[in-house]
Amino acid sequence: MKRETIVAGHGGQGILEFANWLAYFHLRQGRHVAYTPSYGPETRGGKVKCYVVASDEPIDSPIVEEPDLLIAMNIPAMDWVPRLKPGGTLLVNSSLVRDGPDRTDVAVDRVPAAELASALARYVPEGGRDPSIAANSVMLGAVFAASHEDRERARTAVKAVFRHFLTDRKAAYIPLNLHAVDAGFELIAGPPVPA
Amino acid sequence: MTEERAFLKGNEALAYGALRTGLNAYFAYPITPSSEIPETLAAEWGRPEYPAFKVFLQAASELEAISMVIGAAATGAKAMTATSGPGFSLKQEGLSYAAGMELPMLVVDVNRAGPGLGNLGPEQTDYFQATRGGGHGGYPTVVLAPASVPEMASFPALGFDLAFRYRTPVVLLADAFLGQLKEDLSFPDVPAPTYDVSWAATGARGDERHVLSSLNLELMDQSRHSHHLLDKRLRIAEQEPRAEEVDTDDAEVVLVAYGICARLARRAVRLLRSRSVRAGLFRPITLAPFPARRLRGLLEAGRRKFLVVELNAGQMVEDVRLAVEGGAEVRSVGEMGGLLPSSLDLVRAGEAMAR
Repeated sequence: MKRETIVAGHGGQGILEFANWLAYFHLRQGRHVAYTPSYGPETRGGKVKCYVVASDEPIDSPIVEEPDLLIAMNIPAMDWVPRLKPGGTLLVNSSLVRDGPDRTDVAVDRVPAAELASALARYVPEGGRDPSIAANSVMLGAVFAASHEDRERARTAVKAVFRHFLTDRKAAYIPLNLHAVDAGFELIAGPPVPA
Repeated sequence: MTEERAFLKGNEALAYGALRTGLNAYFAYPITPSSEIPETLAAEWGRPEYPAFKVFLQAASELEAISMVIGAAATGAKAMTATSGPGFSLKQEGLSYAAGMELPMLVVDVNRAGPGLGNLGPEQTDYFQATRGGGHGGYPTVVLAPASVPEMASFPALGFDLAFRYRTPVVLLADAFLGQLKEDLSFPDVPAPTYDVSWAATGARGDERHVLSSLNLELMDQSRHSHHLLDKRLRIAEQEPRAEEVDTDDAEVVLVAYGICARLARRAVRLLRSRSVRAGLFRPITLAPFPARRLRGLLEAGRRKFLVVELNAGQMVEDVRLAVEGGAEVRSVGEMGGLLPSSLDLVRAGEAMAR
């Protein structure tokens, strides 16, 4: 197994956080991972892009030239569409990107990440932030489903991922983010089949 | 891969690698893209896991930081500083003094792009400055080139080992890509080694007097010292060159690359082989001493074409040409300004050479 991903968007969308989660998720599955961030000097609003490579074998180059998976979190991120491998998968944050890609040789999933996250206000800790901050977690769930990860295994692994990264004050946001992952997974794969 | 593996940036891994090999003192003057090294060390200072780590000090300038390293190293401590190009230039004076005084130390340069301030992207333009001894007076340097996050973690131990065994400053030459890249790794569980530091200046206490100086006003004294340093350089060149080879046995084109370029070249070798070009990789791990004899061995085994991949206008290519002494075709390909060559660039260059 080898999967090369590009995630792109702007500063403040949690792009690098997302890429860290995705890489660490793969690491928890016993895979080798490489994560290459790229960002401007701005705290908010600058272009952000990250390569994530996950592989059962040691990784030769960490640079992603032809991704299997592109996660476009805003309109400028669609500039990467021509690079997507034929037969690859594009996940579009349809909360910000209205138009589809001009390619027919790739699978496209549109994910209204902010809207789905906003519906999870009840999981925000009291006095906490707007639930739309969990849009990146919605996208993470969508990525798991689009990558045909096993729902329960992914769920278990992502709990460990959030426990690793969301510490101290952020720990209160773990339930929101777990529900956001579920929402993204369900959007792509449908609701879980009752046992 | 069953045990829990760490997931760290190259700079963070380097800091932990230094701590695990018993770093005693770090003198900081942060600069992007190396700043996670002091950030990590500042955060870990005082933790019971690293009892040897006594000193973390933020200096007021790079000159101050390298001078503090000299002071700490003179006491036999494992001392280190890290920087990027603009700061590495400032530290050259200190490196020259340290080489003259024969002080073991680790100086990290996370190479960024361009002369002057340039930008924060990766380059390998500090190759000449690092391998030739960028300061005055002519002195031996040992330069190590990691090519992965696991090597960013393990090379501080190798660096201090060479530094103490030969009493020489060691430069760890990384680049902005390796500094920011995150990979999975595990740390080997080996105890921090100790070295003979009977030469160190540790205070009078009735001991014999140890003078550590690079000043030799008597001509014969300096001549003896210069020859001693030369002998040391030759011994290191004899015993310490290191390189990695991939698929060189039958290669019609051998790519030569270090650092992040070695990773690009590794992929290019795979792609070239899938296109029926028998390509191989020669990766210098020590840039100084350059593994010239081993490269020469490839020539003698029938390899006749070498494609050097660098993030500069062609620096290591000179060492490759010196090693093969006109006996092989040597070409250069690369990028600058913080950009990387694409796989296609390397594959095209390899194919053109194989024809």
